[in-house]
Amino acid sequence: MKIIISEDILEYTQAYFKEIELKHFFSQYLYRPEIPVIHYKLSETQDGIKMQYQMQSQESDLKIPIKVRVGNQTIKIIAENKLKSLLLETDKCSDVQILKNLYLLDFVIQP
Amino acid sequence: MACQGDGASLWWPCKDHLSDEPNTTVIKITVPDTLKAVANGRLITDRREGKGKHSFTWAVSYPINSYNINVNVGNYVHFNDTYTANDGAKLDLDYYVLPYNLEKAKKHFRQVHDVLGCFEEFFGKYPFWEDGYKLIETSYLGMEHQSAIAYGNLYRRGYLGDRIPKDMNFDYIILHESGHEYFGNSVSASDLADMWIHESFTTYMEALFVECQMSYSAAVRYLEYQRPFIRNEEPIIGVRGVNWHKRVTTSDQYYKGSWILHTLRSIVDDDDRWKAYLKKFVQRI
Repeated sequence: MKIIISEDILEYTQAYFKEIELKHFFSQYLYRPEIPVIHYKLSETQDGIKMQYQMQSQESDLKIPIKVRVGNQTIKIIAENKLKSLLLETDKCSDVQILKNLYLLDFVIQP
Repeated sequence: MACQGDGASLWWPCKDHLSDEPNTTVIKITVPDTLKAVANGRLITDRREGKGKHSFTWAVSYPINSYNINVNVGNYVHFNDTYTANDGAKLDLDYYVLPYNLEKAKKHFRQVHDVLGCFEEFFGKYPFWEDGYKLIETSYLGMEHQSAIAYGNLYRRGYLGDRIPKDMNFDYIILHESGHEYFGNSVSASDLADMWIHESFTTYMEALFVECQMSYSAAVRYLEYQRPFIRNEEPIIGVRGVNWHKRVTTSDQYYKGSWILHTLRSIVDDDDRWKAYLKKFVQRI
């Protein structure tokens, strides 16, 4: 039986998963009302599908790894508050699926 | 009777703050001899007092939140069952229901075994073993009174027959309030500002139960079913040191908190490690 405060959980969790930086995660999700938004765009190029993405969050140093399915493969992208881009080895935008139901994030696809 | 939020000092004199709990409690209730009185813990005496009165004394052998101390008085009938833990230990399950619901309750409460089994898998054994586990029929929907859960879901699936995906068939109140025996009653917040510790983890336990009974993808579907209730209007953690339980106007401490844990699991991306973390968290924090 324990009586605790939130910070006990945050400290315990950070110590348990010490290789993952969780300070900004907890700051964003527990101390602020908003959730991060991921803006992304998929465009066809000669070399494959170009994915551009950027997270918009109140915690400027927050980074969240997000799983993306590309055809039969699953890759991870690291979303943060700067515009990033990568080339995916597929020729169809429909092959690219962000696993949105794993994260409390809002996703906005850019035209 | 339920007093969470408003506080137990509404009906009995106590140090009414989440940061302190009595180590043990004795509850003595005298009622007309046509009725039964059921409270937390174990029944230690059951005595005719004469002049149409009957007294019941219950003893709680663990620390308990003051708002969890509870009295139920009714024309109850009692039946019991036993849950066997993975290590072979036996837990007494005692049920107090109204006479006309007895047969329904005997069938409906069988699901308690599934709930306790899944929770044991994820978080270890039911935390108030010596006091047993009780469901007590009430006129209100439910409340996680320690070892004496108030049950008023009318023996229906979900939340009064609704609010869970159509292919799922558990009683939300049994599931949710039993979850609170771990988060809320065993691991307790010391301030109303930290109530997400109770509600977020317990709501997440619902999804874990679905995972245990069905699959991880069903659990994700259950979470998605709850996601539209998230409002993002206030921080999950509130202001400490004020009696401000009505600050929260949304269900974010429940659904958003559950989704935060789901998101954290996705970031960790290692199911075995995540499950070990949850179990160790309850047992060691």
